[in-house]
Amino acid sequence: MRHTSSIVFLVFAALLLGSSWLLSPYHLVLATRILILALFAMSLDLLDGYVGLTSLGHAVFLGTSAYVTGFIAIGYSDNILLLLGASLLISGCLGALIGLLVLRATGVYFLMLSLAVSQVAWGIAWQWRSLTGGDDGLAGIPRPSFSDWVFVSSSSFYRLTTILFLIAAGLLIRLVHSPFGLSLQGIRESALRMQALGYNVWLHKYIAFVISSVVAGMAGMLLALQNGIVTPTQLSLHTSAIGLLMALVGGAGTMIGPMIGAVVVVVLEYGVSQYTERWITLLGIIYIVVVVGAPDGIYKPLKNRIVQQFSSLRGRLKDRRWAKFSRH
Amino acid sequence: MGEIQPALALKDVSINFGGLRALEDVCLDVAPGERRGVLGPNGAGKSTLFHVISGVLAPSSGHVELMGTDVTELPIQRRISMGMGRTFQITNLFANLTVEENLVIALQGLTRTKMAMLRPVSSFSLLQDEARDLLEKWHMAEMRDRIVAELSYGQQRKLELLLAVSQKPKLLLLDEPTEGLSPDETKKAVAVIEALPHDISILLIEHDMDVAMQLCATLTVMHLGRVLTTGSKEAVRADPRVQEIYLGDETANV
Repeated sequence: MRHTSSIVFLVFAALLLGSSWLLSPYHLVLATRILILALFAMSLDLLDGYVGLTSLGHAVFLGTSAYVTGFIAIGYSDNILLLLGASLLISGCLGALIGLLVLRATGVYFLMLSLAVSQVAWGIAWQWRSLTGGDDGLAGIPRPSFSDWVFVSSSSFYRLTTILFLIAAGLLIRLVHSPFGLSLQGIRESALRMQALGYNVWLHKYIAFVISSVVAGMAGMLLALQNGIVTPTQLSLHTSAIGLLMALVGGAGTMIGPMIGAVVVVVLEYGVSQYTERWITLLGIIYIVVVVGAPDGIYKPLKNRIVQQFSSLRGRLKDRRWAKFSRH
Repeated sequence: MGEIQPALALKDVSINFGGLRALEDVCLDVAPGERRGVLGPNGAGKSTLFHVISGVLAPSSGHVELMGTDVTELPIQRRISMGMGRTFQITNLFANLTVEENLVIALQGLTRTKMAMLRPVSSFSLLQDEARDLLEKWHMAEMRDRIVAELSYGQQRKLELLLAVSQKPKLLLLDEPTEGLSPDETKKAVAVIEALPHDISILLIEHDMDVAMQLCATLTVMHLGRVLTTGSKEAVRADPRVQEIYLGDETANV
């Protein structure tokens, strides 16, 4: 079993990397955006699906990191390692700080607190024109480089994104299957029982919150570098809600679901927005359909069906072998 | 210092909820290895007492001592790591996880393993073996992979107890362990509790006087937030005040 998941991961990684030579530049841009937003959705899934904390303010980490990336890349250096280090550090510190504030609450109060904090950040970015460019955004962010390589072409930037995505997603998936990940699920189910079993519930939540912030920060850096511009939208409720929607549509508490959710939402965003401006309405409808029709999201029912098919196939093969065997 | 420290000592514990005095100057000692029952009608303060001992509620005054150490200011998890274990009156399990996952969470709770982030749970073979052995011993092996929410109520109560016992507590707080069970299941549950190692001190809150008398030699009776009396079960049964507030109530209900 353990090998199965490693093999699946390697095949998945090979497919992702390999498609950088197969897809057209247009589709590579799309795929890059999917990977970036999938990271963001996974960071939300860690909180929402595992710890049971639904945040509507997670864009604060994505957006802040995007602005920091912009400042450094425009004014100082476009070295990817420097940008990565800076954005992870900033989003981690910000997570450590905001976590102290918002983790005092749970449930809907946590949701409102996280939203309030992110709206403050959004307000600052909107008002402080001299620094952020206000609603014009911070434009002219160059693509990153690493010594002689510059990740300008859509295929090279896609490969960079893929590698960072695979590292972060791999670590997150390992995390949720670890004893620590199990403890987070325990907290989701019953925080009081966790305390009564000797867990420092606050500490576990706090660590998860900071990890989640760092992953969202990584997504923010990549988004700034891909778009070449950062606007207050990246800090807004809209961004937080889209991330949460991806996690829920795909299936929260699975880490795989948010990836599927990111594919669904981004493909819709590009496909439908060509024909109508109302694609957000469509997202709302999809959300309602998922909540009513498949409250666990897309991934879990899909997985169950595949597992069922697989085991019935195996059963049939076995039967056939038995039939042969008994004929002899 | 030579004297044996009680496993649990309450010293003049009082707690107010607004104007209501839910506990008043409660003193209680549980000796190591003792099995003590706490009885009392509804509203006697039994559950509040339990919350104060386990750290869910802070007393307005007085002290709680665990194995001779004052724990009044310590949070729940610190008391647990000092050797206290508790169950809940209303079943409090990880409903959407499997039986085995529930148990593993309990087993890793007092170890450093709980902070391990990059190795899968399944690779901690000591933990896995321990969980498997315990489930085997408690005749729950066949339900290992079942989601807890799908278990029968009786099985859930049993798991509730197993989680607390698996951490090898020195003092075990049982909050109405037979609450809601059928007479048959109650019998089984009593047998399981009776068979626990006798070096575990037990403080048992029970509504059901028969269950308390079966499990505990010494009983404390509470009434309106105060300790009414503490004594052997024979003495308690014979006490006219107990008959009045407790049995009197019960006959009135019939």
